[in-house]
Amino acid sequence: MLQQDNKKPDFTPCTLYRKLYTLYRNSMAAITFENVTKIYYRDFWRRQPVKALDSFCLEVERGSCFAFLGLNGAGKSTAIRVLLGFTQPAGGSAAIFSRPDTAHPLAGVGFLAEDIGLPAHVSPEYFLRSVGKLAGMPAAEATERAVEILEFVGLSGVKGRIKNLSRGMRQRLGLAQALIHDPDLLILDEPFTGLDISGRREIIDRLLELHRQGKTIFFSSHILEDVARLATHVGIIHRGSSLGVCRAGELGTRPEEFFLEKIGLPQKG
Amino acid sequence: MNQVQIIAAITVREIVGKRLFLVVFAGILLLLIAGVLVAPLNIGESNKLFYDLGFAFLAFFLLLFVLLEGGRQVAGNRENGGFYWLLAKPVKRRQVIIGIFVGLALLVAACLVLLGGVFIVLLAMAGLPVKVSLFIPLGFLYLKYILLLGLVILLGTGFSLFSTIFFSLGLFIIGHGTAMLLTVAGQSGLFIRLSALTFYHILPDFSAFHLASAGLHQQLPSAGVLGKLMVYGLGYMGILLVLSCWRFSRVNLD
Repeated sequence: MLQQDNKKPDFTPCTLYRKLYTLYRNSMAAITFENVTKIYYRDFWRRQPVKALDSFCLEVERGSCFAFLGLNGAGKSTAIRVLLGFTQPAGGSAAIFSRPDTAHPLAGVGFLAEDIGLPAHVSPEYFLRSVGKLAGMPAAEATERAVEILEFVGLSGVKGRIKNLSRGMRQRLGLAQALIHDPDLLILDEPFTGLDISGRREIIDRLLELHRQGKTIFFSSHILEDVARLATHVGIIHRGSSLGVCRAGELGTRPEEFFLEKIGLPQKG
Repeated sequence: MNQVQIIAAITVREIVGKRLFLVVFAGILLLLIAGVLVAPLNIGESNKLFYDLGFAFLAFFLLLFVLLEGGRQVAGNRENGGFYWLLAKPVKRRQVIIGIFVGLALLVAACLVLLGGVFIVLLAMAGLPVKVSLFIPLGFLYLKYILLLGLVILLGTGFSLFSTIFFSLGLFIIGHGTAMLLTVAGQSGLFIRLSALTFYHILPDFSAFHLASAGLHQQLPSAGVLGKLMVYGLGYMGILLVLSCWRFSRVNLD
């Protein structure tokens, strides 16, 4: 039986168009930030608020390799932490794949943090096996995948504890733990930190390979040369606000100049 | 294996792999052995001294272990980003807390069994009587330190590593003198009496779990009293664990 209601029906051409557009946009987007504001306080008494993110908006297309650029303290890591639910924003929302609330929002996500605090006293293989099992893999599959992924990141045959690995090797292991469950979306916060030139090149090749397989990659970096090689899209954040998104081709041959111009810093010469 | 078991297993492997843990463990073992040599020097009271030293060394190791490792596993990991890789997987925050608690509680049990076992063997070797009534105080020693572990984990969800250890140790010491609060309540005005009684009921009573002397002299409380004590310890620990999960689910990992 139809209910009598004085309210206008929520089905005008305008709302229908808006709903269809949102549906389309969500199906295309891997990551969305909508007016995200995050405030930190300098002291215990919450007297000196600092806006790390200020009505930050960004959309990352599915299947893209998105570089997230910004100066130190611009809010890159904060945005990533809000996105992954590690910290709550003061306003706005961030979503991954726009998944319904019933599924675990991070089921198909691989994440590498900037300050990667891995357990120090276990072996890389044991660690990866455990991570695989945490991601829902059966024990045998996790063991097999751990060996496979160690080879993929160039750590096969590495024995001993994680504590004894170099910074670059730990970074590779961090990438391996992000990849172990074959996620659709990779979120990498400064993935090239601690890597030498050959290591960076190797990891970029691996990431390009993953991108060709159809994975969405969202990474932050300071090294514009690497960004130009790897990214398809570039988003710039400055003082907690988005300065827009462009195609990586727009960086041109002098990505530094492009970046400095975007954030409004004076250039030499 | 579910998430809690996996996290508990990682916690155990991580701690057992530490050289410092093994060094401290070996040190306490040596102290226990040294107790055999020292005890006979105390003429007439060698039995009591040996028992007291044994329990004191065990308690000292467990206190160090629970404060340092409990603090590092929660407050330490919160501070150095050690939870990011874990929470980026399909894991609930409460599973992390319970996993860490289970891992540490298993290690405390393993240490107690090993060190307690050595203690019993040394007792037998020294020709001292191994009384069944000694096992009950060992059980309550375990309950006392996993109760402290619950406290350390709760504080670790909100404080820094240093503050967690400092406040936990403070509450542990105060928790041994809660009976004094009753004395204070009996001798003070209304406000102080109410405050003292409130603290008396809120703070954990760690002194209640110290049954070593009673075990030695075979003057243990009745089964009913011991049962109530066990329910108190487990119930209090459960509340601390629930609060820890609740707090950790809401804390910002910046």
